Amino acid sequence: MSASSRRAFLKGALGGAGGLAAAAASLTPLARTGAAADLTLEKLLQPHYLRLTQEELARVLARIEAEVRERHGVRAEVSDHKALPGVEFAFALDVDQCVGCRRCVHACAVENNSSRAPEIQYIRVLELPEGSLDLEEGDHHYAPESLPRAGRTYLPIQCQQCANPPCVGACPVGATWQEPDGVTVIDYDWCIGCRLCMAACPYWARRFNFAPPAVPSSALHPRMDYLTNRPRSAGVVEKCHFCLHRTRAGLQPACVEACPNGARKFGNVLDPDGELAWILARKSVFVLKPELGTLPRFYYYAGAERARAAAAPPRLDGE
Amino acid sequence: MRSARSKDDAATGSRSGGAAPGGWRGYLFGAGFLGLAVWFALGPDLAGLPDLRGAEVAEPVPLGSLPRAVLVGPEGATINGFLRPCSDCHRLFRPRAADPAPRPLQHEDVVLEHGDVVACRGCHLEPGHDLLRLKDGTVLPFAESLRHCLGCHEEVREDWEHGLHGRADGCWDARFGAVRRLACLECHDPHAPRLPVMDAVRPLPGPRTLRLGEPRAARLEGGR
Repeated sequence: MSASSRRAFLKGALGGAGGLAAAAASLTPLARTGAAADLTLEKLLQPHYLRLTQEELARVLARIEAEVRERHGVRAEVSDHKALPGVEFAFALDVDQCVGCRRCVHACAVENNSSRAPEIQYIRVLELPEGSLDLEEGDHHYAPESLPRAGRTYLPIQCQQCANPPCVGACPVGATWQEPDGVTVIDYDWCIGCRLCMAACPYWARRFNFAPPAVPSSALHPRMDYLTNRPRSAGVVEKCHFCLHRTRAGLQPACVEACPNGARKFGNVLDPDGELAWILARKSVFVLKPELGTLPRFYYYAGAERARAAAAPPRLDGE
Repeated sequence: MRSARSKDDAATGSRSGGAAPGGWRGYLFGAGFLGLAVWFALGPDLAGLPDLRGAEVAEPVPLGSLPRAVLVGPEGATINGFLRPCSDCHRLFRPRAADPAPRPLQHEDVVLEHGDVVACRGCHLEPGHDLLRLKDGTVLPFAESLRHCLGCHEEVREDWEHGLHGRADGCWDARFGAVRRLACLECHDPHAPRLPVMDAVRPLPGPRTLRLGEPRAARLEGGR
């Protein structure tokens, strides 16, 4: 063996080792997020939710139950509620009734096992000057002694469950899709954490787990669904899903249940006798950013407008 | 350093007959990669993640219904520790017609702020006060106060009947289970119904999420 070939070999080995070291080291920021910590081979090889067979799904649900038991010492019940036929969920919110108390925000976090540190909240409440809908004017951090403040309007914003969702088209791997009942969901095990959906969402509705979500075991909500409130891991996106584990079983979403004023109305928009049909037919309903063509299923309305109009009839004098 | 490299370059070049003049660059790339690796491993946090190890896990916020004031009194008044039906006194004592809002000792907790209704007999049937009287003359017991309220408040009736006004407990559709709409007096004080009990509620803590960050100076305050 000549000196030159040995030299070439050494050169190649050195280069190769350097390259490998560089490749490994470049992944260290990823390891720091903890995303790799709970990645098992089983999870890695798991098919997409929509392609799971019955047996595979049962195995996956059992695996999640075991993970929860191991991590939290809580006996969770992980199920998979399917969409109800003839149901399309929609939401309506009376901006006249909302006082901005944030009970929906925290009820949602508790119900959905959202991370408490760092805090992940699906609902944000904006305090706006009365009569304004300029979201840029809004303040998320209002903290007065008592609510509501005079001259302010409160506008809770969460996933609008668009009929034409830009986030679904943005996902490169099909980890988020629209269910038959109109709710856009995420397969947390399929999400690669690229956050393109977050960039595509015009409503700031999606949240990313930068760190492993921290939920106190004592506060863990044990009734879980695969697509909704089961524990997430670092590096995946999550968002409001209209509490499908509750609503597909007939219950109201947690935010509706928590609202002390009844400002939130939830139901089947296809039901001609339902609340939603009544609101859409009789009230002045608006959606956020209609010009984008996202067709939100989250409607806002001013419930007290008739009473207001009676108190101060519109002035018709003058052009 | 430079001279060593050029010598190496020249040596490689001469040996391989000038076919690979940049052979020394292999070492350079290797060294570069190694340097990068060291920098990745020891250098700054490239993911730009905030250090969350010290962040405390917030205590779960107690939820549930807000404490609502006792709005609907017993059907009568407690006098000297005994609950007496209204008629016990009001058979004999009638509020004077000229007195718009009488507040005798027995009823000093009653504040009457009910729009056009400025006297007790706007709703309470005289004599006796044990019954309610609608403006069209219909007489109702206290237990049917809901009908009594909706008798005047036409504008709310439709909304309430369709589940819009006020909150509902239970399921979102009656085919899954019970739906219970709260009655008027579960939120409103019949004597001063203008403001529901939700007036002056303290907000739960605001967001400390990564996306919304820490509170900035309230722009609303500055702008006005």
